[in-house]
Amino acid sequence: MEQSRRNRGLSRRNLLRGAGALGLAGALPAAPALAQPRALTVSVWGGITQDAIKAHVLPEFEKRTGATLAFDIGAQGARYNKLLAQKNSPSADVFFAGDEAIVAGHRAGVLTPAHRKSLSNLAEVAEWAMRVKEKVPDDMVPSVPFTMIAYMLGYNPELVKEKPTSWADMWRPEFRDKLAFAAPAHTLMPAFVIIAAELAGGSETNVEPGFKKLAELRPAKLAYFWTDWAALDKTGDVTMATEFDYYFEAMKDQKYPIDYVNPKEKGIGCPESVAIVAGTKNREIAEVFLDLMISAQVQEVFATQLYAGSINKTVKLSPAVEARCSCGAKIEELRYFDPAMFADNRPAWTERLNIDVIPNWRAR
Amino acid sequence: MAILQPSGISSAAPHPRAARATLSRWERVSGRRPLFALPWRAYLPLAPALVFLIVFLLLPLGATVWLSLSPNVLIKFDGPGLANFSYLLGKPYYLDVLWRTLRLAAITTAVALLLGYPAAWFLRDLSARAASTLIIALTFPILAGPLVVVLGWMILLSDGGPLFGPLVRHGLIGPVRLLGTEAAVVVGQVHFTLPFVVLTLFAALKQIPVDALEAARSLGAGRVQVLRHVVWPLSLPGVLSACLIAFSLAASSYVSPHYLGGAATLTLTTLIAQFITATYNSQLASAAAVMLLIVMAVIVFGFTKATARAVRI
Amino acid sequence: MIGRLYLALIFLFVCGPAAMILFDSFNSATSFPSPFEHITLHWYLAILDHDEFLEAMRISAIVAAAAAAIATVLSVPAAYALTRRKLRGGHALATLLVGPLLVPQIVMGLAMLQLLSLAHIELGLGGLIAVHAVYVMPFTVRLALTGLAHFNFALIEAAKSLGAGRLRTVWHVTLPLIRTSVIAGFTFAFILSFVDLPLSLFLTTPRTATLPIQVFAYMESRLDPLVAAVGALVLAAAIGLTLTLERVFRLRIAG
Repeated sequence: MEQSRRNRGLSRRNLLRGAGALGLAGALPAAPALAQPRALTVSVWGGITQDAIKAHVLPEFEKRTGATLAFDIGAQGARYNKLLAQKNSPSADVFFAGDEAIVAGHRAGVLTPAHRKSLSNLAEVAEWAMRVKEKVPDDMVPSVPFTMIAYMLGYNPELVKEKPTSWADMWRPEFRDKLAFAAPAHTLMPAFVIIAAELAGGSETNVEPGFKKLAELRPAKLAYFWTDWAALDKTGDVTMATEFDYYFEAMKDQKYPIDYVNPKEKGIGCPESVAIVAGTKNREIAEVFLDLMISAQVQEVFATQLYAGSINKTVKLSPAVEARCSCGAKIEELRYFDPAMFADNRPAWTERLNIDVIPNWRAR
Repeated sequence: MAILQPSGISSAAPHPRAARATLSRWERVSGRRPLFALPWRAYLPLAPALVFLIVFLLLPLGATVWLSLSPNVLIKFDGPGLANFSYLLGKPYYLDVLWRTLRLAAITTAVALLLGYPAAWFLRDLSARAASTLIIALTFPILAGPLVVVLGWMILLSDGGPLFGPLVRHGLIGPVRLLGTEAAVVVGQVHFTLPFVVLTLFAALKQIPVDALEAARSLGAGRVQVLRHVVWPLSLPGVLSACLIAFSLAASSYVSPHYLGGAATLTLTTLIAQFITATYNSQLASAAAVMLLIVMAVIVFGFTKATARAVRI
Repeated sequence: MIGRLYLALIFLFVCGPAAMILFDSFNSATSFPSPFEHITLHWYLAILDHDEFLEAMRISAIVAAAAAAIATVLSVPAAYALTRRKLRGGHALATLLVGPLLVPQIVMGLAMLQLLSLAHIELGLGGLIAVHAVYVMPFTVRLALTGLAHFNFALIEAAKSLGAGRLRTVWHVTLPLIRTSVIAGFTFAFILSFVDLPLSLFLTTPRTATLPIQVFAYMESRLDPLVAAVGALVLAAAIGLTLTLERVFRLRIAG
């Protein structure tokens, strides 16, 4: 009797497998066979950035070009590696990244400049935002900035009595094991090497004191994204953190106990740009997309909804919005680094951090 | 260690033709297995899996090995060479990371095995329906997403969280500072691997025929003796599988070390990810990966061979 | 008695965080995790606004099912061959079969990307399924080996002597007896493939993003109970599907 029950199960399992295989076979060809409208593939961060592009850029883009947008999402590092690996046949058409990756991409030959003529809004872009200075023909531009965000110093106002005013406050004893700091692989790590160097008497060209100073930090968490430490802010395990201002604003909206300051040595200004991928077959509509990203309408929406600073000179923001993003007068109060210099020094500095600094962060 | 053959299934005397079919001519004449006889037909069922692995594992791995021998932004040298390896092996930091990865994986394996074996054994006594339900209850939760689950652990293990928070606030215990330590990483890794360990061990323990146990009992063996001399040896293939599975899952885990570990508990996977996604140094990343691969291959091969007596192969 | 208590403790440990997630998915608080404010279905409805999550669930399910199926179909004969006779190089072959365990997933994904680019093959479901199948194969192999470890091969001889052909023997004798291991292996492989992140990191395309990638991308900039709702939904779907399979096909994981 046992035997027959097993046999029944077996033949039914066979049926199931067969059905599953058929179903699979049916599902798979269906996807590519569907006629897809022409699409521009956008390599970008997921989450709010993708949502904002979908909501505010996509409709106008479709109207102007008849093509739609497809999103290849992921962290910058993963997306950049994809570009490198797909040099001969890229799957993305435009690439969103911080300026350093844009510089690196041009040097590696995976990004290509855009024609100034196709970018009708180019004249409206603020001068200070055009920080990528790779050598390209005069009638072209290597990339266009689409936002300015600032890296600031955040703290828990409920638990921190003395409000921080300087980057040096990170070394205060009360923040030992309570600090969320940029990971060595974070885009802004080189900036902190320089900042630490300057705090220790060194400079941009003499960063050796910086590594020694960083070794004295006691971070509790090394973060890439704010979500790496956000939950700990609530429980009080992290009382100070370094992070982008628009994320701090988003956290405030979500009722996290957090506030932030622009340190007196100046917070770090980070322009982010979008460039065209080399070898793309959709150059014309790619340039339309870039043009849309720098247009006043899109820039205003990004500032209002994402708290991401506008780079378009003609955009007028209400004081309430201006207070929450890196716009207007605040631009002067930020410090800017040369993306090319970062690109050159990152490999060596990451190694120094790994070998000389991190072992000292064994806090216990 | 006496190994009982599964009993209760009568084996008829093999058909003469069947007996002959398993011996080659040489074997029949000399009575011995020839040294280089290749019963190639016996390897045939392995072919599809091997071909698949050759195409989809060895080929990409070849590319990885090639990369690991190549110069890069950090280490410049001429043509394929071992400079990347000598660099990595020469830095105590990297050896430390490698050692930590292996150590944490070993601890995770031991803990998961210790917790999982009794669980699998007790599961065996339940009815098929109850066991099924419980197994589903154990293995499915991870489907909610390891990222989200680890976030949950981050809260549970934090000093201000729902677990320790009330205790600390009422002065019952001092700050535990569990988060950021290797212990927290082990908790996360054990949580991830335990269901798989239980499932593997259960599959192995289920194969042990009840008759064997009854036979032992009827011969006067006490409960402990039954466990030691009957159950444990018969379950060894499953234990071996569970160990390998837990070890490799733990060694390659990314989410636990990243979220639950602190500034100083980097493992090789997070390090490789750093090489790839931050400094875009796939050559050095490949070298680190090859290093890990060689070490783990030695461990796995050694482990398999050492326990070979207890399993069929 | 002890047995039940022990199982209950293990159950608590394993399911605790998942229960917390389930609980929090109904939380009206805007950040996750948070103390409970009041109950709401808002986050589940929000998933409908983010159709990329539903699509990602579908993709992950397809990839996981295909990868697990391929791995199981390849592993069982291989394990059979390894246990049937003592083969020369059996240990080496067994190690090779679990080879993928030794390679960090992120490296496997990157290597596959490079391979596909070199061969001018477009990224898509095929590449994803291939790399996932490679990744889960060691698990199905190990479980099949476990299942065959105490297999009484005399049964095969008996079947043959009774006149059964090779295929019938496999169908009616071998497979039913290793059922538990094979099903366990398949389940294993499916789950591991479904939740995996590093493998898919470099291989996704706009139309084929897996669920972990989608959740990870979402979590770069938002941390609200939506991800908890997504997790709870997947869990519910998996449990529902398994219960249906058990009822309709009398197919049990615990055999």
